[in-house]
Amino acid sequence: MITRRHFLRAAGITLGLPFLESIAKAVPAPQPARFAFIYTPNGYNQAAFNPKTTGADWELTPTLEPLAKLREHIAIVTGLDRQFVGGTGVHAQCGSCWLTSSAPQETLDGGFPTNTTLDQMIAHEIGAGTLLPSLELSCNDFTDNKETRYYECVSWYGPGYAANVERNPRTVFQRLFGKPDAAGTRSILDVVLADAKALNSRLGRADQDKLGEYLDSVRATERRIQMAEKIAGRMKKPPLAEPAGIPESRHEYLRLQAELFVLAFQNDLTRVASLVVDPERWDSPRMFHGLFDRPQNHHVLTHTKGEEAAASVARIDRYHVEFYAHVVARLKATGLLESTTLIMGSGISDGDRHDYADLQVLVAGGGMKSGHFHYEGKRPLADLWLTLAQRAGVKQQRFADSTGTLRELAN
Amino acid sequence: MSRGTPHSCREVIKRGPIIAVRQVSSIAHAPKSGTNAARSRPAPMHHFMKPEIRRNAGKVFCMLLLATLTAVASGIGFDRDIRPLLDEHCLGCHDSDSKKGDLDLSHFTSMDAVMKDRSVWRSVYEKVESHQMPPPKRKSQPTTDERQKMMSWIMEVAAQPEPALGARDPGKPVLRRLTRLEYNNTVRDLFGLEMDVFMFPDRLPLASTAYFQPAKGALGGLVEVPVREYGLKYPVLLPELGLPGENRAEHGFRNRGEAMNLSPMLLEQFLAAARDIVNSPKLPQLSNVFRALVTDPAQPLKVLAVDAGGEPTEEAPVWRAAKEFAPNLNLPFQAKQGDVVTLDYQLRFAMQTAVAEGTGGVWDAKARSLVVKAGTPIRVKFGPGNSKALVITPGEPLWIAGFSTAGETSGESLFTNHEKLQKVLTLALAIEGGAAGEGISELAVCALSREKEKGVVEMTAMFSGGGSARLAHDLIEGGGRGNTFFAFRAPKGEHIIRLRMDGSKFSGNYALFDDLAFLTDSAAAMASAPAPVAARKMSDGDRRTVARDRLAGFLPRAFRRPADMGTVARYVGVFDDARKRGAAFEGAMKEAIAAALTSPDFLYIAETGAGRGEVRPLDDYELATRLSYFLWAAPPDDELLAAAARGVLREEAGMEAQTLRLLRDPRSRELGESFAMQWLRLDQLMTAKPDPLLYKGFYSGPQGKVTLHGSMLVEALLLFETVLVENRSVLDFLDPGYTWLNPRLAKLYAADVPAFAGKSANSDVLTDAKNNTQWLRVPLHDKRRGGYITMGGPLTVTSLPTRTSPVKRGAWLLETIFNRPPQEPMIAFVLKEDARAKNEPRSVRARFEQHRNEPACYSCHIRLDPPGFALERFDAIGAWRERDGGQAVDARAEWDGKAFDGPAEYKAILAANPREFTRGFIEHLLSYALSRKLEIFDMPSVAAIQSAAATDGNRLHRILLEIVRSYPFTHIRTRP
Repeated sequence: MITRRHFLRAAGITLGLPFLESIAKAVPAPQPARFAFIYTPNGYNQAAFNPKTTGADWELTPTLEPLAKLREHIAIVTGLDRQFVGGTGVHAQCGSCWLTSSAPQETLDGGFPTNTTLDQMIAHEIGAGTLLPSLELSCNDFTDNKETRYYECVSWYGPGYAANVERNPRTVFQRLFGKPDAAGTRSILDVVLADAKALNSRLGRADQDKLGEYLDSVRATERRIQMAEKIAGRMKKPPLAEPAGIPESRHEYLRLQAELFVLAFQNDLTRVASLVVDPERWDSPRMFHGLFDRPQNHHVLTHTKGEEAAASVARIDRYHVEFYAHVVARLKATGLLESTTLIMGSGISDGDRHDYADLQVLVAGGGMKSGHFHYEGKRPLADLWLTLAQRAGVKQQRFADSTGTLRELAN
Repeated sequence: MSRGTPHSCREVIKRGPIIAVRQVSSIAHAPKSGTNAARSRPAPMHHFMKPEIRRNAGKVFCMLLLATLTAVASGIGFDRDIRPLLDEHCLGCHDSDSKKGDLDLSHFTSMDAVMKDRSVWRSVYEKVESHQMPPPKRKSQPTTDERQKMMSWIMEVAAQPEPALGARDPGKPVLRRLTRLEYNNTVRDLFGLEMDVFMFPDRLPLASTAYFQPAKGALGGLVEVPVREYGLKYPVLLPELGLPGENRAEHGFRNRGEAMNLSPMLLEQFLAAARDIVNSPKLPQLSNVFRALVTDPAQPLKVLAVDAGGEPTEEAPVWRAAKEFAPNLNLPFQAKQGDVVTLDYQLRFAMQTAVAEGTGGVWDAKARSLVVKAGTPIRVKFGPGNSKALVITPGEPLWIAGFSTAGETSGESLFTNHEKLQKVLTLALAIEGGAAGEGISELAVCALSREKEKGVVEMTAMFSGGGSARLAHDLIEGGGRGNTFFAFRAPKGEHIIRLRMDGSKFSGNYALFDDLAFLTDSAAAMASAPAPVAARKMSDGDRRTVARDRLAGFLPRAFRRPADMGTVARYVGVFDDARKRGAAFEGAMKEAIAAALTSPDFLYIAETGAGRGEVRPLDDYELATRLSYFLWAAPPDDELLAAAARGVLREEAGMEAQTLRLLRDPRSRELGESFAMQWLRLDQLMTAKPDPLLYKGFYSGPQGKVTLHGSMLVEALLLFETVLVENRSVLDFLDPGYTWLNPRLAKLYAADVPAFAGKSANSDVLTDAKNNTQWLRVPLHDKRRGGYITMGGPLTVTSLPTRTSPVKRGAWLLETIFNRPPQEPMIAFVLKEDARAKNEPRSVRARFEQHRNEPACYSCHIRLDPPGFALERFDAIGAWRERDGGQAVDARAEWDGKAFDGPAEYKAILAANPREFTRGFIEHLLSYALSRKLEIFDMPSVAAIQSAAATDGNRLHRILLEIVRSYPFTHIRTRP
């Protein structure tokens, strides 16, 4: 197992290949592989989502309709399973353990099987040469922090160590395209690193682990500053204007956060991204602009009886699939789709029953096959993750409770 | 929240202290016969005892209990007494084969095995105590005595020294970073700011907290609590700065160390925030501390001359100049329009120098009510021996008076127009008795904002050379929120001779002003003044020495403990680096301070003091830090640090004195705002959005923009603050017999608290509250209302937008009131509805009962459902109801084996057994104080705090004092 300390540090020390060269050169070099994971909460309306037919001519269900013109690029994967670990929240585990590399029995985090997630493992493998090894974004603009981090974070550095998500597009922009005051920042980082080392020598082991988060973060920041200086020489101007903050409209908010990671991919500033469209549960109503005229509570809708609520859930699902289709189209337009694997899914299938079995996952690009793939019986979701991990070059034969790779999906 | 220690000794105590004593001792001496004796005899004795004897018996009991807790004294043997019980009642399901609920008790074959994995016994205790286990539907149940024996034994296990430590376990050290709230408060206090550093959503939207004066020891019967509309901007140092907030911990508070992570992204945000703070142009204006740190020593600060003082008389319009410009005012705004060089923060600073040199002062218009006629000169004495005077001659009648609406921000009085609506004032200005040619070179005055009034205020200064300058500013609404200062400087060689103040565009009858500051100059004064120190040559080496000295003074405050030479040298290095890059002294100091605010020594609370052995007492500075972050969510102040330096915090009296001092400080309101709001989950209330069509009562005003959120928060906050300030029993949280109401909330409660309708015994007091910022403490005549369980806020936060949710309410109550949150379901899905019953119309109650009868659900829902049913008497926004939809509300259920109907009867059952609540409350508070989750080894501490509190009427101060002197608060493991 890669320990969480080892993890960030390794990414911080290895300064990789020159970046942006592939773009700068007249003769295009092979594009580096990229991975993005989009998470939607509370499962999906099963009836409106699942196509009844498999293969290339899968049934265009109401929820999947926005993908009609992108069929050749998309794999609909259904029927993969996860295992719920009793004693911790059903929603808390959905997202936090969606990409985890721990098997359900391996509960290193106080009952939760959180561990280094797939995106972080891949970032470790392919992210060392870029400005940021990975990006963790969220479109959770609720101001009440009513839920724990388990509801909000899908990306984890290690057991109990969540990657903080960034909700504000402006901050993301500044990290990606801002020109830091390198000398001043370095001077500050030097002194706080020395403070941290002095403090570390006085701490017990458990606290050293906690302070390790700080030490690794300082090193990662040092590295980013160094990278940013080099990039500043090549990239004269950011590829988009600095966002003012979180857009009012949800539609724009989602697209802006996605645009930031697409542009980061395009400029090879990172190769791995995750985006939490909305956190799990979080019983605060929110606006879905253009979809409903009143704020809606997605989680409550999934548990509300009756056709009307079910239809509303399906509309929200479709709204998210539409967003996914938009990102696929953007990747296509920027010539990145062949090299980028874009995933979208939820940690449960049926939201009302909190069903961990028969999950839905959308896979696009990255040279994966297209069509509807359905897995009857028990087949762990981890098999898909193992497939992706291996494609990213991670040298592992197992991932969490995997039983093998999904060869039919990979070319 | 903290799913803390299973509670201490409720089961023991509730049967009467004597029983328990006998039980313990009888088990020790004669286990078999003793059990019978314990059951049969003492109960009647208990009834005959006078209350004080009962109390004393309680004390004796608790001492005995503690005595037994510190050693294996009761004689309950694992092999002889406990294993047979496990065999008979537990292992059928909880063995290595079945492992029901993921629990296997079969590997506990010896005491050694138990001690190696103690934590699991905490939940065994809870389940046995609450009769959730063995499953109530199981035929064979342990006797009361067997249940008791199991619990006593677990309590002993909890009190055992940890074998690996050779001592009681005080908990492992928790390195934790400051929460967003604590970060804000720490920066605020470090620089002596009177406003928040930035806006953050968990700050309650109170426009003023002036009502909270804990030193008074009472809140009174009527308080003024203005509420800001949620999300509205308010004066802070950096309105644009945002930092991410913490997620709450699993069943816990946001300050829990293990639940907070730091990633590269967050570190960068802390770094950026530190830079933004030190580079804020407002910071030097508002912070003397900061200004003194960063100002180039070649331009030193002048020390203030001591003024003899003296009150002005009211008869003659003569004042003595005040020394400081607007010290009581937050001045979020500065009028900027116009082409004059405006004064900025320098003004307050420059005033100090000018007062010392006799070249300026401030007219602080103080009077109860004084009208100065047009043309009557006002004299403001200043200068050496008050030999000089600023002569102000108003062109219109001037009214100097106290305005209650502005009082909170501007001190007791101000000046304004005397005639209503005549909001233009002209003041002729001159200097009397000064040096030749002495006149006003700079002038500033504050325009004050009021509740419900706003608009443009314009000022024009006229200069001796014939020119003039104009400034205007649009004051925003709200008492003190829009306070703006206008500042003018005369062109070189000229003076300011008139000031025209035009508030005609300001709404309301009066334009309010205060604190007219003036600086003078004269040819003579210029000539005779000593050369400014600025002209003094100062070498870079000397400057560096000053920088080092200042940082050596600053760093211990920033890091909350002494800083060693090496640390100081590192920060001088940052200063040096910046100087090398071309920064001036000020810029270089700012870099060093920004570095300190990014350091782990600032961002983390680390307990690293040296100690021998496996467990050590905390050192003085660690105790000071724990204490102040517990009570204030803020760093220790100078007095607390001084107490730490003297070593008195490790003495009981010293700790008590400091604790009580901190509680008298207004900063202790964070206990309400941070602890209580999180405890009650009311930090989530602002995003509750009851359906506007179904719950019209929640919304009022134009387009329903005014909501009950703020009022509900204030009601809950005021109850907590009443108990805190008045040192009342925490049982008030359950049933205080009063509540705080404003007219808006009274309307919501009208069905069951008829007081505000003007028809009850309360009506005369109630009519006192005229507007919604006024809160009255209203006595309640029945128990339907009163206490958190039946309060609008909690009832709303546990409802869905369109209906109530008995399960959410039940879960809230179990978690908040008892600190026994329901276990998360062991199955991931809800049960499918019985197909056969699907089409039958059934009540909510019937469906609940069906669900509860599922074996997998019963043991939780037997506890979860009844409180929810009791509270069905309240709708989704907390209004009383008799009917729900078309049906009569059924609020009957059973609790602790007793039947009840409705909230009043339910509360009466809880009140009969208050220890369940005090235990839960103490666990929550202790977990918050320790910033960690409670463990089995904390059980004895909770029991001890609870017993001590019970002997002192469960008063909140007693509980707080017991917590800060408790073993886990004062000790720490030296190793993880």
